[in-house]
Order: sequence, then structure tokens, then C-alpha cells
Amino acid sequence: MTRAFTAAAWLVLLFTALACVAPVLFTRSSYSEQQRDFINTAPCARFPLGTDDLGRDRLARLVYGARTSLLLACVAALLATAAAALVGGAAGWLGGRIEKTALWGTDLFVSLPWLFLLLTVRALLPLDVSAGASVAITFLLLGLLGWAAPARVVRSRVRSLVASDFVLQARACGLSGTRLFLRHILPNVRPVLLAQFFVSLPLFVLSEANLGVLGLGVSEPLPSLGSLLRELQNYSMLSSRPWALAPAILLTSVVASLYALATRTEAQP
Amino acid sequence: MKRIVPAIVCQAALALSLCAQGTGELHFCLRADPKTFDPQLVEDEPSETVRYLTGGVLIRLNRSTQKLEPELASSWRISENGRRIDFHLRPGLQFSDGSALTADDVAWTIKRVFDPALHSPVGDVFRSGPGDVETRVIAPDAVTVRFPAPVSALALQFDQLTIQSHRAAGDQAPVAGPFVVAEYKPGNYVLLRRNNRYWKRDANGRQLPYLAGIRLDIQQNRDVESLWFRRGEIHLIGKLDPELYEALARESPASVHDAGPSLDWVQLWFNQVSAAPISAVRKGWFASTAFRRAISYAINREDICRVVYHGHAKPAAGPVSVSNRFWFNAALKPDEHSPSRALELLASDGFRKRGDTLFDRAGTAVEFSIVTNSGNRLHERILAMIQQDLAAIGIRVHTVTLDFPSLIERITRTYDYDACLLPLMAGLDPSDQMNVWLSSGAEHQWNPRQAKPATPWEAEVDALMRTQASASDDEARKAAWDRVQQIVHEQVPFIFLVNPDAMCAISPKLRNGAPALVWPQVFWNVERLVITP
Amino acid sequence: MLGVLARGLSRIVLISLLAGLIGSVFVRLGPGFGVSAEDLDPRLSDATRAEIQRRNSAGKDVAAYYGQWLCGLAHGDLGFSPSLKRPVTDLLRERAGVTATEVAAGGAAGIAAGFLLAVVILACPRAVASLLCGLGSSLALSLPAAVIALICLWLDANPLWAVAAAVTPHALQYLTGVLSASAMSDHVLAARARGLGRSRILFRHVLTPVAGELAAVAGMAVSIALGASIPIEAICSRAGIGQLVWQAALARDLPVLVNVTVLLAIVTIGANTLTDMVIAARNPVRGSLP
Repeated sequence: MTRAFTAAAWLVLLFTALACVAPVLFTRSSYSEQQRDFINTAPCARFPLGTDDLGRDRLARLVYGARTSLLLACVAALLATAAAALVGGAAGWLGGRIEKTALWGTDLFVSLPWLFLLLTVRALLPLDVSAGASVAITFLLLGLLGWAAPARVVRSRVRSLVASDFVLQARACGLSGTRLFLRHILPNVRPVLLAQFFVSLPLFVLSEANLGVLGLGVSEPLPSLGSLLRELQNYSMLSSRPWALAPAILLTSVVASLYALATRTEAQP
Repeated sequence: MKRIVPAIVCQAALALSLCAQGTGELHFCLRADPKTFDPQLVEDEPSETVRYLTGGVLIRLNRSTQKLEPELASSWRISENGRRIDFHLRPGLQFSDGSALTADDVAWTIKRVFDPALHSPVGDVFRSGPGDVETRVIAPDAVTVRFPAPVSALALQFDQLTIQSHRAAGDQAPVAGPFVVAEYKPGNYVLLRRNNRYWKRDANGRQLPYLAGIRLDIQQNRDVESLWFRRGEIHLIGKLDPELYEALARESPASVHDAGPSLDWVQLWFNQVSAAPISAVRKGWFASTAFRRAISYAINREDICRVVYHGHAKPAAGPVSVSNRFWFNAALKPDEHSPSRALELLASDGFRKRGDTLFDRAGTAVEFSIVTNSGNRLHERILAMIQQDLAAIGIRVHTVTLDFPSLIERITRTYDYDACLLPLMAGLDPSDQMNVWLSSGAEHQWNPRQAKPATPWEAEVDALMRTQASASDDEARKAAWDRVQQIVHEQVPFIFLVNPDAMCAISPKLRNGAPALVWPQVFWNVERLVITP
Repeated sequence: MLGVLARGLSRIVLISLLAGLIGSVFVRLGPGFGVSAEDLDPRLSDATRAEIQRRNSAGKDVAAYYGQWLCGLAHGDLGFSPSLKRPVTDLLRERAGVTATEVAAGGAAGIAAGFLLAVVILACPRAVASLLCGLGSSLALSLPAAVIALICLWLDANPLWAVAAAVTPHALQYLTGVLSASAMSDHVLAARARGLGRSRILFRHVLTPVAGELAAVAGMAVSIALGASIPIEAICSRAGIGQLVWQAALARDLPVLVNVTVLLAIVTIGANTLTDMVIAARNPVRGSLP
């Protein structure tokens, strides 16, 4: 497993380095310029990952798209996980009416058709909002809306910890509520929060792709991992251009590497 | 002798396969559930498909020759300058339940269609003026219909009017077409079976249709539809998009057909509604003919045809496709791609390009947004190409894809948009486009529902459209419509981009298919289609 | 017990009805309400357009519409769909079974697969099998549900496997977290020190204390399975609630959307409430069941 951990660490470092140097390696024109005489080109020296339907460099679009999406998806996942920890943690720890109210609230939140709220947001935004602002708003919304389901999970974990023997013992030893929560509850909730974070990351990337169908995703020519993944829904493309799977492979590698690092970190005392 | 024997064998084989009357079930897909089985309330394409396959009409447009042919009516005569039409019905006509189809049924159907409480879209195409429609049954096989005002292309409109029985109504009503609805499973399929009382026979006296039935599977996803076609689970795909055409052509070249430029076109227009909630600066730009013409010159239509449609489209010059042989104004040519000409036109209007940015005479950088419907890959690519083409002349374009209801709301209610890219599905006759070209029309997209024409050229177009609608002579109508096309080409309220080709896929098992340009492209002669084992 | 059940049921009903009301406000105030593709048909007269607009605008006054809907609900009348032109009762009756089967079977398969993989990862943390489980889970998370549905179609597999594929990574991530936390507790360490066998430790000392939390995954799985069912039903041509939701959302069909919102809320909240009851029974602390 040490080798796997090392490989995961190197991958994460590589992705991070790529994300940092992307603006140096690839300018705006790299990912947006349409080379109309080279549409759907197979990988070659000039275009290592080939070109897309409009003759744009797939590698540049992948690097830029991954940078945008993963960065913003991380922020959104952090936001959602933090909100889930707050609401779920408070509900499970405090119990009683607060727990009841929190559960009512999360259940109501999960049941609402947020699609129409998102459409309303799109309707309120000016049509000429910049591509960067558009995608940032999308991920912010996803982060604000994505806390409810994880909050229930956190709440159930906190509740089981509250009922556990070692917490009972800590209480018996006279530990105050705050110290008990910070020292004994929170560290044991961390694995669940980490799991939620890693599940949310690809979820938000894919959700951004689906929201693109409603006009809320990234707008041309800025690429995003989600819009690149949406291409995979085209069956005839997959069979004739398998290199189009690169975004899925990249996202899988990033998610798997981060998760491997996180679980390894948790395993160490 | 060497050529005759195989031909005889083929004919014999075909005859043998037809010996068992009504063999084979045709399978193809509908893109959504039909909303209604009432032929007079049809608004959507799936319902129209079922109507075409089950409905009997008095006159049918032959989609291949684009000529009108007698159907339930053996003959007809138009008089009073297009206000009156007399029909003579074929003898021995029956509905699918065995009841006789007579002039009473024709009269009843027409009265029903014109019932204001019904709000029939079919009736709308006949409404040429206020007043009631008069129907008179002369004999069991003869009926006269008189309209309050002349109806242009009167005979052609009867291609849409399905004759219903005055004895029975509702979804289970008997029909006079080649097939009858046997089963409908919502979200899954519609099953049609052969109408054994259909009046038509082939040259050998054999009753049509040849098919035993049709199964219409409901499938929205075009990739899945093509997968089913590859597997042989469906026999045809209409309105094939260029990517799928190319993919299928690689695997089975004989199964794909490109009938040439369709009647439809893709267009871009600027919002010229005076009350639109957009900046006055942009309104000023969009109102300028030179600006619109410059945008037209800046767009590379050849590249759109080559890159987006893989060569399966032609640059469009106006609102009539080159395939619409009679109505097309051959004097018009599509604007060629010329950024220099675009900049000249812009300069004549006070625009100046400094560096990579175009500025208007007040020094404002020119930028605007273009909306289109999301989920349509072709439109999204066209938008991206237009974005790059206009960037070359210094214009910054924001591309926005919206879901269809949001888009429709913007372009028909709130007018909160700058420019829009959408296709228009056109029919053969210019009368289909009255609502588009009349300045008071709801579909006069750039500035709909005008109380009076906003510009002199729109006033001229109004007059010309009314002339062609009331004229009975086709040459007079053509002259008026040619002039409309000329004006529209000069004034550019719509920037016509391309006419996509009419492409389809037909399984080798399906015989007698003859793809046409007019919808329904593939199954227009469904009664003669044969499935070979 | 009866009191607990009654409270649970009333909670489900109240939250669902509230969700329906708020959902109808969202739909009504959202863009595109009352419009349809027929607005772009050049053949239609103004009178026909006005009639179409009138039909599509049923529910313009949200409060009045919701009140009427509640009255209709009492009589078993769920309204009429303006876009599909059929009674909503018929639409739901035809489709509920399809989705229920998908969600139940697909969700159960996903949870079972997630549980098995979590046990593998727990039991053999250094093995290649664990690495592969993690990679497979990451791949399933990274592929859009529509792509997974397409893969099912190519393989001629039942669409419930696509639902299971959507649920498995979430179940795996959650269960791995819960089980690994439980496996690191002191009493497990003590059990190991006493020489207890792996399987005994796993079933007696790791799984048993977290049984309540394991039940929580069912509630999560229902939500994920319902969400995944929309693209899966659309692609696999399954006439279920998911396909209906998507069609109704595109058409802004208020009667269908209100009913489906309430129905999905009942299912989701019902699953969550059941989970809460199980957790409360396992971990009785101050505060009570909702």
C-alpha cells in the first residue's frame, strides 16, 4: 500500500503543478481557438490528445477545464461539507428540539425541486455575465444546496458517538461540553466528513455538466470538466474517438488519489 | 436475357413476400409521447406522425414529386378565386369499422375543425378572414366548401385535414387511413395495425398497405435510436443528424440517404423590439441594416456547413431553400464570408476597429449575447463558430444556451435578449409563413405584433404577403414572394445561415423506401413499404 | 410505539405537503412558466395561441391552485396535465411501479455491493483488491449517470444495474468511513489483543455497534437512486417517474410537478424517518424521535 500511497501522492502533486502552470503552458487561445481544418483529429505530435468537433486542442481544454472545475468543485464540496458538519453536528450533539428542527429542515430541503430555483437564478443573471463568473456562481449554488443529505449522515454519526461508552466515560470524568465535542466527537466524525467531501467532488463536477443543459454551466469558450464529460453521452463519439475518455480518466485519477491519501492519513495514528 | 432473368426472379421474390397479405411490422421511433390522437388537435410531431399513418385525407401531397394527388376525393375543383372547392369522393369508401365514408362525414369534419370552441390548429391554416365556412352536401359523394375569404394554396391545405366519422368521436374513433391505433402504452410505444378496409390498391389490384402493422417506440435519445438501428431493432430514422449520419455511413453506406437541402433553415436575428429591456446603445446597433449586413458577411457559412454539418448543408440565401424548386428565388446568393466587407459596412455606420476590439461612434466596445436552445449540439457549435468569426472583426459575443421554455419566454414574452439563433421548419408554400412576414404576426421574431409596420420595407412586405395570399394565379404569387425574398435579403432582419440536408437511415430490409425532402421524409408512402425477412 | 408511528407519519405528510407548496411556488415563479413550443408555430392563429397559453397557465395563482389541489387530493383527483393531456392520477399509476422497482432493486443492489466492497477494503487494506475497489468506485462516481445508462444499454443489462452503479460508490464511501472508524475503536483493539478471529471481530465488534448508522445508508440510497433514475429512465426508455419528471420540468407542467414533488418527498422522507427510528432505537439518548 506504501507504493499506492506514493503513486497517489505523486499524482496529486502532478495535478496541482499542472493546475498552477496551466496559464503559462496554455493561453486563452490554446483552448478556444478553432483550427477548422483539423476537426476531430486523432492524437498526434501537434495535438497530443487530438482535437474536438471544432478543431480545438483537447489537451489544452482538458487542463484548463480540469483546473477550473476541480478548484471550484473543491470549494463547493468544502462549503457543502462544512455546512453539513455544522447542521448535522449541532443536531446530533444538542438533540431535542434542535435536532428535530434540523431534521425537519434537512428533509424539506432535500425534497424541494431546486431545479426551478436554479432556473430562476439564471433568469435573474444578465445574459452577458462572464464565463468565469457564470461557472463560479454555478458551483457556489451547488455548494449551498448540497449540504442537506450529508447533514443527515453526520447527524447519525454524531448521535451514535454521543451514545458511545467512551463519551460517557469522558462525561463522567467531568469533561465540559465544548471540550468533549472538539476532543472526542469531532475527530471521530472526520472520516465521515472526508468521505462526504470526496463523494461530493465528482458529484459537483457532473452536476455542473447537467446544469449546462439549463444554461447555468460554463459558457463558451471556457471549458469545464463537466462539459467535456457531457461529450461522453454521445455513443458514436465514444466508439470512434476513445481518447475522448481522457476527462473521465483524469477525474477518476484525481478522486481516487485524493481518497487514497485521505484514507492513508486517517489510518496513521 | 441475362438481365431479364434476375429481374424476374427479384420481382417474383417480392411478389412471394407479399403473397401473405399484410406481412411484417415496421419499427421506428417517436421522439416523445403523442399528446393527442384527435387529428384536429395535433400540434406536436409525434401526434402528427400518428395522424399521418392513420388518417384519411381528401387530397395528398406526394412528398417525392411535390404534386397534389387525389386520395379520398377522386377529383376537386377550385373556383371563386380560391373561396370555393368542390369535392367528388371515390365510390365505396369505408372507415375502419366498416361504416361508409360519405360527404356527410366531410361536411361534419369541416364544421368541427372550424368550431371556435375547438381551437383546432388545422382550422387555423384555412382561416383567411372573418366569417363562417359553409359546407353543402350535394350528393352522398359530393360536397362543396365555401370560405369567407380566398385561401391561398387551398388544395394543399387539405393534406392536413383528416376526415372523421360523424357517428363516432374520441380516441377510439374509426379512421380511413392505412393503419389503425391498436395499442398505446404511455412512455413505451404506440402499436398500429393494418386497416383492412383501406380503399387504396396497388397496380395489381392488391389491397394496401403491405405491412401488417407499425410499432412506434418512444425514445428521446438519438444515440440510443441509432444503437437500435444498428442492431436491426428499428427500420428507419428520419431527420438524422450529421454526426450519426457519418457514423452509420461508415458502417453501412447503403443504409443512409441524403436527399439534399431540406426546406428548413437555421437563422440568427437581432432583437429590434422598441420596448425590449436592453440598452439603447444595443438597440441602435441592431436597428442598423449596415450592422446586420456586416454580421452576415462576417459569418463563415461554408465553415458551418463543413464543420458542424460535415458537408451536409448548404449556405442559405433567404427564407426559401433551393430544394423548394418553384418558390426559390434563384437570383439570390448567400452572403460570402468577407471580414473586410463586414468592416467596410461597419465603418460606413461609424464603427471603428482599434486593436482587437470594435467600437461604435460613441466609443462603446461592441459586445452582445446570442441565445439558443440548450441540448442541441449543432446549435451550440454554430454559436461557438459565430463567436470566433465575430471576434475576428472585434466583436465580443457571449453565447448562452437556455432550456427551451426559458428561451421561448425571452423571445416571445419578455424580449429580454440581444440576439437569438434558432431554426425554422418551413413548408412548401409561402402561406405557411404569413405569421412570420406580416409585421403584425406573432412569429415576426425580430419585432413581433407591430400595431403598424415600423419600417417602410416591412410595410412593403406586408402588402406583398397579402397579395400572394389572395392571388389565385401561381405566377402572380411567385412574383410577390420573389420580391419579399429580395427585400429580406437586403434588409437582413434574419441572417439566414444554412439549409441543413434532409438525411435519413433506412434498413436494407425495408423496400420501396424513397426518401423525400418534405416531412414525413421516409414513411410518406407507408402503404407501399415492405419488410423483407 | 403507535405514538411514535403516528408522529412519524404526520411528519412525513406535513413536510411533503410543505415541499409541494414551496415547489409549486418555484415552478410558478421560475422562467418559462405558461409557454410552450407551440408559441413558435407560425401556422397558429392568435385565438389558438391564446387558448394554448390559457391551458398552460393553469395554476397562475399558486395559492388558489394549491388549495384546489388539496381539495382534489381529498377526492383522489390529482389534476390534469396540460403538457401530456392526461389525468395525473393515470400518469402516476402507470409509472410508479417502474420507478419503485428500479429504486428498490437498484438501491438494494447498490447497498449490498457497497457493503461487500467496504468489507473487502476493511479486511484487506494492503491488497490489490482494495485498490481496485477504490478505483472502481471513483470511476463510477466520475461517470455521468447517462453514460452508465448507455453502457447498460450496450450490454443489454437491466437498467436497475445502472441505478445500482450510481448508488454503490456513495454507499461504499460512507460504509468504509463508518466501518473503518468502528474498526479503530478501543474495544476492537482489545478484541484483537485477546486473539479473536477476523470474522468474529468483524461481525460481533465492528458491525454490531454501528448497525444504526448502517441503516442510515438506506435513506441516502433512496435519494441517490431517485436522482439517478431520471437520466437512466430517459435513456433506457423506461416509462417511470424519472422520465415523467424530466418531461414535466421541460414543459413547466405544474400539476405533474406538484404531485411528483409530494410523492418523492413522501418516499425520501419516509425512508429517512424509518432510518431515524432505527438509529433512535439503537442509540437512545436525550431528545427523542421526530
